Amino acid sequence: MFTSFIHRFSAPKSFVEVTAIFFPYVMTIGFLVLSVGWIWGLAFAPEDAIQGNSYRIIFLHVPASIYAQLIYFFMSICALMHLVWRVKLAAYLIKAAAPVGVIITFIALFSGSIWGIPTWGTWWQWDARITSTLILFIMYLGIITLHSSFSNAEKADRLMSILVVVGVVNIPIIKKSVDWWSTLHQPASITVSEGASIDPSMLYPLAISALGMGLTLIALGIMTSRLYILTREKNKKWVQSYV
Amino acid sequence: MFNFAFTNLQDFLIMDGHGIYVWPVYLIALVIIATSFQVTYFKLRALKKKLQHASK
Repeated sequence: MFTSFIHRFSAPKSFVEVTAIFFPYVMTIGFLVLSVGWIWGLAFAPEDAIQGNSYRIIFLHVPASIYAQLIYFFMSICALMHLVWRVKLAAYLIKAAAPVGVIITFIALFSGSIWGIPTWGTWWQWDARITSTLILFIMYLGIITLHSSFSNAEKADRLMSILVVVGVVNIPIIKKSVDWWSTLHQPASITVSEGASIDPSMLYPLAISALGMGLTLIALGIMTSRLYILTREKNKKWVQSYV
Repeated sequence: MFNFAFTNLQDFLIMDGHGIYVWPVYLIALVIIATSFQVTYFKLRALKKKLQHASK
């Protein structure tokens, strides 16, 4: 019964129809919230006592890094759904989310890299946090390449899902890298157990930027998903009547 | 909390010498995100047109 419930609500057709309604709102609210967060962070948040103004990159770097990992986590849940319940939509969403993962992981890496120049005196260091994030970036590219290297799409979906599930081991490594190894990258300033160790005047714009970035990426993900689903199912009857 | 953190616009752009790092990061990220939206939008539009044409 549970399986039939999942399958009914995960029909690619329902996804395309429902997201068409939400998309404009998610995108508009996402852009607005992100703008508020960034303007607040860039112009109104106080200067950092140690890092000066270079710390303002945080309002881009931290949200980007969070979503670089969250998107992979989302993909691994989809991969499990695809492998266990054979949910087609789950595989489509992995394929559509991977390019968004590539983009945001790249932004996380390069923003950190530029931030490193004034703060650490170097733009790159083979430090645990940075290296594991680079591996995440390569994983995203690998997932896309693996899927496109098969002519049989169903087989590609399954193998891609297996690769995503295996690669999820990297996520706790990224998260814990700053605690397990002595790294140049600073440990987390906001933790569940101890709360936030940064001042509200910096924390609020950071939280708003993160929310805005999340909505913006969901909007982009909706677009890439719709594009992929329509491409993949273009010969199905529902697509012909939908367009 | 809502006071402008700089004395004037020039100060805001220079950011005590850190503006050269901060601004390009935001600008490049914006360009990447905006381009992704635009490219996906055009691909989606082209695909819909092609499918509409094919279903006629």
